[in-house]
Amino acid sequence: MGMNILIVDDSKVMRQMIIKTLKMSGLPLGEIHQASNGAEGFESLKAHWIDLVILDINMPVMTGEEMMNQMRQQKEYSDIPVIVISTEGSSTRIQRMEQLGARFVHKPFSPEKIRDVVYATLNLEGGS
Amino acid sequence: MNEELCEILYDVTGDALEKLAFMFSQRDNAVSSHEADGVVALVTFEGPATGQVVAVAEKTTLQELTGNMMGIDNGDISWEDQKDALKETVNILCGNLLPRIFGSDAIFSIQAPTVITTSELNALCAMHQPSAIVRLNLDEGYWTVYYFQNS
Repeated sequence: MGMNILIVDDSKVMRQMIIKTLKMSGLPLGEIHQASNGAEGFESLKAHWIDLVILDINMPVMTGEEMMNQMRQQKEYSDIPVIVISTEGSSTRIQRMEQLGARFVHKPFSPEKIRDVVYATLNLEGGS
Repeated sequence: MNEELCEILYDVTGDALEKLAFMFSQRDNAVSSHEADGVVALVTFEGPATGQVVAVAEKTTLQELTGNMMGIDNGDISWEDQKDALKETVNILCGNLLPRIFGSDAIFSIQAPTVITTSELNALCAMHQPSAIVRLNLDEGYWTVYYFQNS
């Protein structure tokens, strides 16, 4: 059974780059859903079974931080693992996301970094 | 022109292009603060300092950038996706540049990147002297990256 993943980023090119990297990683993938902001991402969470959320921070309409705060406040979504992939350089903002339980990957990333963080987040064997 | 800032700008840009799209660059010292050609993306930042980061990409480089980022053949790439790839790249440049200059404790607000015309870039250069400019030679053409610190 593959993992259902939701990718939330306002750049279509970045979403496609993350999908390409996930496919290269050898991760057992199920459905991949995409959203271009936190509000769309939250709607996707309501509509689909999601095993992992990959989230940008700076997005229009609803930021990644706002979406994650909402997820953590609602019991049905509070345990879904989140990986934040962002250009964010402020250690304060990164720590805030980590305190909400997210793992952080800085853009630009290497495919190996994504693979390792995804495997570690999902407690899978196969990362380095 | 601040040479230390130029070095940081070159490091950040070279690293980003390599990691995002496997594009390798060499620094070209022939730079000018007047652009005649290229696709231009700008991102504005506000915080301990305000300013802009601007990338000017020769159009021939954008298909390779976008294709490599998305993992698709060059022939299938739309113009919208090429602009999206350039905007995402300039956003990444800004996000990586600011902590290198101001430290990781500094909090900045980075606005959504936009594509502007070369005339608008030249007007910006006329208003504000760029603090750093670097030109990079890639296999498919050149990139010029500007860093403006207005206050």
